Amino acid sequence: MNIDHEEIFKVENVKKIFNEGEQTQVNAVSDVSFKIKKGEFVAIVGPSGSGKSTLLNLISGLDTPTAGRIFLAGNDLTTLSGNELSDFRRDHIGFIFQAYNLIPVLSVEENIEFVMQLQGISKEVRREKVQSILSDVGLTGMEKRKPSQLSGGQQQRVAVARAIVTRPEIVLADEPTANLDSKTAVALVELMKELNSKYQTTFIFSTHDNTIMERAKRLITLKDGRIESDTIF
Amino acid sequence: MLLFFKLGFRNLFRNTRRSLIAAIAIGIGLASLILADGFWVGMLDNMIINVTDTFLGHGQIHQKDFQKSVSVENTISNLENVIKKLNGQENIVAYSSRVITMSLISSAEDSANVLLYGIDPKDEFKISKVEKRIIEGGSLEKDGDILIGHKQKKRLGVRLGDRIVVTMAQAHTGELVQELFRLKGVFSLGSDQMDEGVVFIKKSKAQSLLGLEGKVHEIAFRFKELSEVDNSVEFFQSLNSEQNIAESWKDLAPGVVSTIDMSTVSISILSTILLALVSLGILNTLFMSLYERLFEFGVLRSLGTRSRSLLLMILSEAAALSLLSMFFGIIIAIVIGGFWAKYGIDYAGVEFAEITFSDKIYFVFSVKQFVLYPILIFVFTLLVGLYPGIHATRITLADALKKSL
Repeated sequence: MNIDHEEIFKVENVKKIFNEGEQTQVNAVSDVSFKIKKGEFVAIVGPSGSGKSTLLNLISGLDTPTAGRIFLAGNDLTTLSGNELSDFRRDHIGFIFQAYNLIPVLSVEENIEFVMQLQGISKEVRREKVQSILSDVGLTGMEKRKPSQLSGGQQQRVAVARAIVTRPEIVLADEPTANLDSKTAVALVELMKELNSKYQTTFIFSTHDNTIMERAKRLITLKDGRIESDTIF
Repeated sequence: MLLFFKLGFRNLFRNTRRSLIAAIAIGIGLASLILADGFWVGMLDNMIINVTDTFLGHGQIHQKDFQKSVSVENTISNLENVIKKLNGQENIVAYSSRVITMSLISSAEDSANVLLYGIDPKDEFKISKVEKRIIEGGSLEKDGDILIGHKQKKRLGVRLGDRIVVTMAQAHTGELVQELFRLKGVFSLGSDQMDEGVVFIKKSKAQSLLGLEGKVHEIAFRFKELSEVDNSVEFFQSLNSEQNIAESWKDLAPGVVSTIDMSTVSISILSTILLALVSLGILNTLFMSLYERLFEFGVLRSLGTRSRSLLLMILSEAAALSLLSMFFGIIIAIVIGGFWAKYGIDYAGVEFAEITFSDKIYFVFSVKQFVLYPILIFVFTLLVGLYPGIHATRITLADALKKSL
């Protein structure tokens, strides 16, 4: 393995074929390679069916590639077992989902400290970090609320807080602004950009949203499962 | 660990209405188990009491060969000694000695072979229900009085005060003797065998007719409590001799014991069926809840939740559902069962295993029913919860998260 010190992420000749050998075979991702450095703010774009979500699944260890290797923080994700991948995601990756996906029975505070609890961090430290991140995402005072008591934008801010509170190497977000109005979407992207600058956390998005594309520092465009272009601004 | 217990318990109340309906349904299953057990125990108690209190007593003493042959000569040996032992036993509250012979009874209309019992009404009525079950006329007073069952009365076509001729063979000589009796009373003991095949006259008269002065064929006795029968093995052994045999009601009515054994098997089968139904209810509830939350499980796994923790969360949810169901089940069982334990269910006249119930069946409850069955439900719930739990841990994350990542 040969990874640059600043290089957080390396995808090598990754391929994903669904229903391999059958008539319905789909080459979702074909021979994709790229590297991402620490602190990058990357948007993966492309039309529907171009392989954005599949690629995000692969690079987050949620799915296994048919071929190729994926390195994150010095680990080859393709060699890890199910539980090792769980632990790896817990310690190195933050997730932001399209539909927020907070745990409805937990309060804002409990949602944000969920991953920290999995990591075994003490209650005092957890609460301290929660207060700090709530201040970062502008939700101070809402820690006891349930997700159902928040607006869509507020829920997505909680999701951002949950993703970043443990300071993971990378945050993966699939269409994070898809369910938000344009004003809220802009505010959210600005927030993520701010956090990206403040904590040097790498953000990778899959998106159709111009708001994100315009603010991304790098744009990887996919077409038919292949990288069509990779532009750094 | 605590996090997933907390999640499991809180998840139960995400859809309060559905959880409550499921918990009540499972609770009804649990209550059915408790009530069915309470009913069976009550019914068996009723059967045993019916058998022992009606005529059999808690135990009987006979000459060893008497029951096989019903031979008049086979009277109890060393009667004085036996009576002394019965009088000396503190927990014996009553006993009654009987003279028994096969005889022919005839009316103007018909005749029938019956088992004739010579009894001493004063002693007999402390031990059996013959007097209480006289439905027409009165009890034995004079030597010439006879009691017959209501079915026999119908057969002979007699009325109170009518003449009934009894023919029997004397002991030792075998000579036939005939005596005229007047119908004094008609009984209904709730058993066809008794109501058709047994008649009662005074013991002294029977002894005189059979030439058996001072001798008897049977002594039936009662303990203070029926349960003392099982603790009195030594007492029964002390009454046994080369000539006599003492037996408990269990030896004398093996059919009832078999029925009880069969009932125990029946209640086990019923319990298993009810538990299976309850388990399917739990399984259905958990699977419904699981399928609508596959995406959420995907999210939890993405965030780093190990499959074991996810399983723990689902089992906690099952445990919470089970605890809520137990609460409802116990309340339902206490309310309904308490009512039936107090007021009983009227089964008078209903025949089961050749025994006709004469009293109400009162539900009998014990701590065991309220501990064992809820524990069974709890354990079953956890076992059943394993299936959807393991299913959830095996989901493909990419598929579960198809809507998003």
